[in-house]
Amino acid sequence: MKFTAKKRKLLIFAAVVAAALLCGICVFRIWYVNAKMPAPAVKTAKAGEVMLYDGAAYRVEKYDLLENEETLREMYPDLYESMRIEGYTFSYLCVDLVIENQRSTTLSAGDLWLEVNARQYANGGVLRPWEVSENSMELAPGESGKFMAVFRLDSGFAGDFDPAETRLLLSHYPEQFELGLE
Amino acid sequence: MRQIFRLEMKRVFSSKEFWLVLGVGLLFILAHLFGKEGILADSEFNRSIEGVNGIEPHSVWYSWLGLSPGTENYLYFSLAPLLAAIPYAASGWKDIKSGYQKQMVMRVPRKTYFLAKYAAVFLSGGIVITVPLLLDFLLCHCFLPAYRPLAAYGLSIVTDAVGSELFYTHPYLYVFLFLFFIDFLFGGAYACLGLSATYLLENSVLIQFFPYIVQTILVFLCDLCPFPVWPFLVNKMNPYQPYAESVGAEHYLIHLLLFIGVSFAVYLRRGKYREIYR
Repeated sequence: MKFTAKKRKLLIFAAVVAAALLCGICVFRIWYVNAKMPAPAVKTAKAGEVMLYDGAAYRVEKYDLLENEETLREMYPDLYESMRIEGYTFSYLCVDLVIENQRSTTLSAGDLWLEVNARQYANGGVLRPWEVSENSMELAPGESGKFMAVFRLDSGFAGDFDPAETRLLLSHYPEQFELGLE
Repeated sequence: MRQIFRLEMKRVFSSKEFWLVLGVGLLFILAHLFGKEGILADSEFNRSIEGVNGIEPHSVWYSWLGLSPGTENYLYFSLAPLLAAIPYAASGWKDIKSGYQKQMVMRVPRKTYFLAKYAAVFLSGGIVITVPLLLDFLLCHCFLPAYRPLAAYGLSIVTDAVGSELFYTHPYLYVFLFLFFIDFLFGGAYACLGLSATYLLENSVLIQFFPYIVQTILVFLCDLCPFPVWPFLVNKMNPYQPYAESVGAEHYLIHLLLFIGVSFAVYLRRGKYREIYR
């Protein structure tokens, strides 16, 4: 099919208009989506400071990096048995947390994520009861308890570990809560 | 050289195969966005977009075709060597059969023609691989927010991956570097690998399938090899980096240099010394 010069110009003009229109729609959509779902507002707390999150108060008491699996086996034999994987060597980061349920309903302590230097993360985080009960992670209204969050970390982690750059993340969009270790 | 290259690029953009492959890329995008298991059909996505408190909306960084480990991602990057070669890899063979090559080398130096052909094939392969990915990236931004990805969630590339630190701090830079320095170059390298088969095979379809077959056979042969050569030869175009644990930056470089070097040497050397006026 051959086009005359006039038709060709008209086609190019129509294509340019359509492209500009599509670009405009895309720009508007991108603005609209990011305005409706903005980046989560980050709230941080240092060790020892209380952070209110989803109807509960969280506080980091202390942390302990167990670079040797044997240490975990001696200190927490049942935990060692549940977290070890045959053929792999891990380090373990144990973070002692105090959680107070300020809700009127029972609180199930949810997952905690670990982020280090904005790049490394735990290969499976496990939240384990420390003092309250061996098998339960639930707190009745008004009840508080101590928990130990244990993170199994790959063996290369211990050398890079910097507590100042390490934080526990609790996410409740549109807010994100970060608990520092120091 | 510039004139011949321009002519070759004009031929690329006016070929049916080029637009056909871009159409296939568009189908991948549609399936990824609107398909049965597409990101916009995800119930969690719908809940989050309706604003249920506490559920974090999906982000572009966990959902883009290049970074979401789904069926579309797997198929797109598995078929990438084939898609890259379809538009123009067989053009060298077609030029010989039609007599076009003979006409060209009578008018310009052989080296000029072969270099322009190689460059055009390389660009065609890179373009057909990166354009659908770029378009999907843009469309994902129209539906999903783009706040900084968190390594802690474990939803995107693992921290062993090449450039993972860059991804979690400057995700746009990671995506554009990967698109233009890995996907584009590998797309071009696969297309040129097809071009290098011009003098080996006597069928244009076989030439188009050649990079895909070579890639598949190489990975198969790696399993039989007693040395760990697998990381050097596995398909590395996926920005999600599914083989991150065993593939490092040096593997990318060697793989690229090997494919580009072999295809360049074979096509240009055979082209230079081959009897054209038979």
